[in-house]
Amino acid sequence: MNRRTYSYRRGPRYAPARRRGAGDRGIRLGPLLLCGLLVLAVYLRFSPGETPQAVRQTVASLLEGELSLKDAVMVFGQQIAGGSEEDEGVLQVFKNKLLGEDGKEQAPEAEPDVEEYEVPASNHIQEVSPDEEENTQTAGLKTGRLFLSADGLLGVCESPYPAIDPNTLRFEIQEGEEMDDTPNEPFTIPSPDVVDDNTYDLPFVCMAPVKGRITSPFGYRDHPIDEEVKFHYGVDVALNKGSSIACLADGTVIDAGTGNVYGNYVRVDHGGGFTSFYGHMDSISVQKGKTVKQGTEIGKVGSTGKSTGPHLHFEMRKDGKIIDPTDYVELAA
Amino acid sequence: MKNIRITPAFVLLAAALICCENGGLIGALCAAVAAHEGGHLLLIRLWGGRVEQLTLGLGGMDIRYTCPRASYPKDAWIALAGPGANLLCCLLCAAPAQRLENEGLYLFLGCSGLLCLFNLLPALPLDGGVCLRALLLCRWEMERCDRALAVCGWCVGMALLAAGVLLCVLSQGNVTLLVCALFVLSRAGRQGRQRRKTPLRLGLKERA
Repeated sequence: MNRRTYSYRRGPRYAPARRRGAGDRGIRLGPLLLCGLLVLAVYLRFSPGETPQAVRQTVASLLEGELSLKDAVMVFGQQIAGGSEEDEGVLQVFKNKLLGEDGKEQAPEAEPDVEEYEVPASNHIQEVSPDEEENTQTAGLKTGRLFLSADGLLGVCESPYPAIDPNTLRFEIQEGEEMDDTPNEPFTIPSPDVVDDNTYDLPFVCMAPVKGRITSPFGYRDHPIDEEVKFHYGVDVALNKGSSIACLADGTVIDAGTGNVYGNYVRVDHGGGFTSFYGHMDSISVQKGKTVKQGTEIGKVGSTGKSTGPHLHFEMRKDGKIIDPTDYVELAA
Repeated sequence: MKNIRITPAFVLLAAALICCENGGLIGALCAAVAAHEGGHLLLIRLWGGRVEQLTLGLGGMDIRYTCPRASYPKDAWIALAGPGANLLCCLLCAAPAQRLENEGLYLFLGCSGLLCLFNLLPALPLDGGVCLRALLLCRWEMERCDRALAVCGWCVGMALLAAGVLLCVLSQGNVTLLVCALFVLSRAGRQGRQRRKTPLRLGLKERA
């Protein structure tokens, strides 16, 4: 068989030799310019300043646009390795990441619940507690924080200071300033309207979701920043990040999502008007509508939302009014 | 090896990539490209071939080689060695990447996978096109092969162009796929012009 053989190359096999002319002697401008371009690129890459940064961003936008090419390539690599948790096919996931569409419904941000915000006490009184302890650094909050939500409402600020027992408060009246003969008896600061001071018999068996160091108990406390007495509607328990959070009692998950204030949160309905709330979680282990048992893992302790340290913000409510969780469970380790 | 040439387009691309802040991706891409070209070079050396020239261009590395007892199937295997090296890297690195969960390994896997898939497209100068040409030359004469490859190149180029335009619009500015498409189309156009010249004028030798 007369078989043709041909050694394929991407160009002529025997390219004619280029004759060097007189102009070839000396410095060649082309390579010099290209070297200069490389040096300039290195300078722009590592040089601080607004102009080099602007140039970097312009070049990056030309190469990537608005998409995250690095993320898309990494997800593609994860799919090849088989380590990704994505259920979709490789190319679909790559396409989603490339176009910035994760394919997952983004949970709508929870509307800030006005009731969850601390309402300043109506009587702004500078009290001195006879049992005032030295304020210690606590997990869950290193400094008191105030912020304004989009609605202009004062956001939750979780004070690191222990709650003040209203029953032990007395006016500090200097000698000679007594107004009348009224004895300086302790008085009770009324709780906010959203708080129910009663203690109920629970129609179910319950357990502590976590046990740890209570950094902010339930009740009034002296706010460190605005020097007002504010009400803390839940209990903050400091724990290591990733610690498991158990469900208080049998119930149904009525809300689970992510919000500005409490980060990853879950609300469970236990029946009889009782609900429990778990905030600042690192991850949520249940879904809305799911039936949970006492002790079922709700999520993991984290520091999401307005928090500077890993802790659980735990609340309980009865018929929509906030009750003191420590009346029903022991959260302190 | 005779010489290594670097085209201005490659320098421009390198400068643009250096400017970008995506250092991790660039490193992974360089490693994947090195593995790809290493596959080609390894097989050339295994078959006793000699690399005459390496050209670093916009589309990657252009290798000119001579091989004793050259044949079209050998050329096809040499062309497939690049994507094969990338595929081998994916297979070898998949388990360590999953165990270590290292970002760099994932990027390398992703770049290798993309490089393998992209180079298998049946269009010159991509490896898929080179392999296809070599296989077609086993059965058809050169003119017919070049016509078929030109058609393939135009089809792939137009598909890449459409995808590139879509990506550019959706991503608001990414032109990488567009550049790839124009590169493939320009090569398809150049091949069409070369077909009209005789092989002897190009310096190509047809061995009976």
